[in-house]
Amino acid sequence: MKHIDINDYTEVARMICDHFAEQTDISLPKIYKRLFDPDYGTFYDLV
Amino acid sequence: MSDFYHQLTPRRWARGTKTATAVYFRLTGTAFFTAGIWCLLQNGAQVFKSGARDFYRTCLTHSLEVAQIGRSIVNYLNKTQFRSAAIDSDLVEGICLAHDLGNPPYGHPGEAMLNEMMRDAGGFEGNAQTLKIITEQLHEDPEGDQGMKPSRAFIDGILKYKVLWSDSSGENKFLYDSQKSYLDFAATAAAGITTAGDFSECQHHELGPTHVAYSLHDLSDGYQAGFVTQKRSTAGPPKTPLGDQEVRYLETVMAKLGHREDFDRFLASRTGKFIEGVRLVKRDHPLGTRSNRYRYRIAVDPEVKAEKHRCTSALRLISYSALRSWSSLNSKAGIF
Repeated sequence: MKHIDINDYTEVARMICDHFAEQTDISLPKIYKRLFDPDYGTFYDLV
Repeated sequence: MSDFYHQLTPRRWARGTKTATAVYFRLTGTAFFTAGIWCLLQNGAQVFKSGARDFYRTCLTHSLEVAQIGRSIVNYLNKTQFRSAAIDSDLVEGICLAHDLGNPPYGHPGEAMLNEMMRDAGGFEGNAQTLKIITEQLHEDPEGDQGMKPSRAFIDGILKYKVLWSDSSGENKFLYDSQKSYLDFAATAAAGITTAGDFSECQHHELGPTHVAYSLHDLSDGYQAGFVTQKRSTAGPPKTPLGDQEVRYLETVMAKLGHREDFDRFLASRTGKFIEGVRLVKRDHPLGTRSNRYRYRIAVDPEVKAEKHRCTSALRLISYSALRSWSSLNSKAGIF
């Protein structure tokens, strides 16, 4: 596991970018809804 | 095959170890089937958002199609132009299977959006991401090193664009700045090769299978979904109207066919013709006298090229419609 410097904007941005880039058409809207829709999902989603 | 072929192409990233070519190229391709990330492609958008319909292409089936067509082209060339197997079909298949691994969700619109958001932090590019995943994420050595150690030929084939982000306009078609070492590795082997992408195998990937699959199969998807219609082909989206030739081509094809499924069959029959339109022609290259790899370049029959171009242009209709439906979704969701 690569360690990143959290004060380095470029490294943090790249990590977030990689995370979203490996999502799929299905999982990405789920992440969105989980973050912004209070009615969506159950606590099992987080496991 | 000469020693030269063996010396140069299987040289691997990192420790510079060598493996027998025949085994190694096969293993590289097979490795993608066993990687968990491969399964993610099945929910990646090729033309349509995944889950929208039952039968259409996704990133996964597209990769498989490309690999199959790539293999067919190699087979065709080896049978017609060479007596011996001059082009390594395992290598081509591996490259084809890998070529879409780095695609983000929502396909090219998703790629453009990520790139836009990363404009101050090095950009985002699907092809560069593919290389990143292969060299940094897939597999782990017994020593704990993460990432595959692809051969030079393989990296050369994967690389689609040979320019770094900071040297490019930053819009698309670049590699990350952190990947300079791979570019150098692919471009400068011991024998003084100056530009990457010189293997005949690499040109296959660039000019052949992926474009065949893209222009034919995606068009078929678009037609079946009703995105490409005769009416729309003449009207066209406002910013990217189709040329006269493309419109005429689509009209003749559609006039011949009454039913949507017929269109799919028609396009499937074109695949064979497209494969047979690929030729190898001799060229001058400093290494041409030493290896077949450098002696030839790929040439596509002008007629086939023109037809492929017409199909690709018609695809703009689909991309436009898809983009529009997604952006309306996005504005509803209030993200952008």
